[in-house]
Amino acid sequence: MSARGKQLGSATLLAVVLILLLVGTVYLGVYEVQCNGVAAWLRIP
Amino acid sequence: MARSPEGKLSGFLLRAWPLAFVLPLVYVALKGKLMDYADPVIGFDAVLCMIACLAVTPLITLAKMPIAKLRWWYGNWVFFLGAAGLELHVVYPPVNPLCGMAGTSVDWTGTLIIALLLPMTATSSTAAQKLLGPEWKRWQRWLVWAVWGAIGIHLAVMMTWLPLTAYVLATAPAIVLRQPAARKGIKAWRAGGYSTLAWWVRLAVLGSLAVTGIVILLAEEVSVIASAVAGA
Repeated sequence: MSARGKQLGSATLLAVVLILLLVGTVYLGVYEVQCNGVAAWLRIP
Repeated sequence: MARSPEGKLSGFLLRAWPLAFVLPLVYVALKGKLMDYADPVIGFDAVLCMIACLAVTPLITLAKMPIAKLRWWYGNWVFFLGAAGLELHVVYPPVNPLCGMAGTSVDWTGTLIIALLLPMTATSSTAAQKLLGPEWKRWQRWLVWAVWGAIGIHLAVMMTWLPLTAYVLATAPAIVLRQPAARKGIKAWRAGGYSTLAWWVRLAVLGSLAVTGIVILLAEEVSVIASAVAGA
């Protein structure tokens, strides 16, 4: 594999990891909003 | 890799000052009141590290200071402080670990910041820099601004308007000075022996904004630490 190919491959892998982390974080947020309700989640008095 | 600042003690102090703000938490933890004060103490410390991290590049542009390595230190401090805060929420959650990570918008934005910082920190080494080549800088640049925005949202959902204003004041000059036109102007100003008055005035205004923001955040941090030690 060329040096450029390795760079792009590593960047793609990093992008996949970041997307998985973000999807997991969003899923957690949505789950908690469903459990607690939007107002409680946003801490609206 | 850039050189470290000259002098062992000054170099150590420049790298390790964030530790000074969290050390009082050891005393607070021994008194059993860690969770009452950990969030604001660690949070303000991490915000100050973020501001320091963003200030490194403009300072290099302005004075060619050999401090590039400090960007790595402050970036990693932000991650480790944030991760410590998140870990405390997982270990001592109000209901369950998931609730500690995302139970409110404040918890969730804190987790989001760590999710964004994790790939940044994991690829902060020289080996990762070599592996990713030109993509490395692009990644770090985009992610650092994503983290900057996420911290702003984190402060906004807390409805703590003074720290949010201070954060914007402290980081806005770094954003302005990172713009290509400003960098070009500063490089020409530096090459000309800092002789143009207009740049001195511009930098005085931007510097005043940054110092105001930093002083407010430092005052908040010291105030929270004082309350924690007194209340423990």
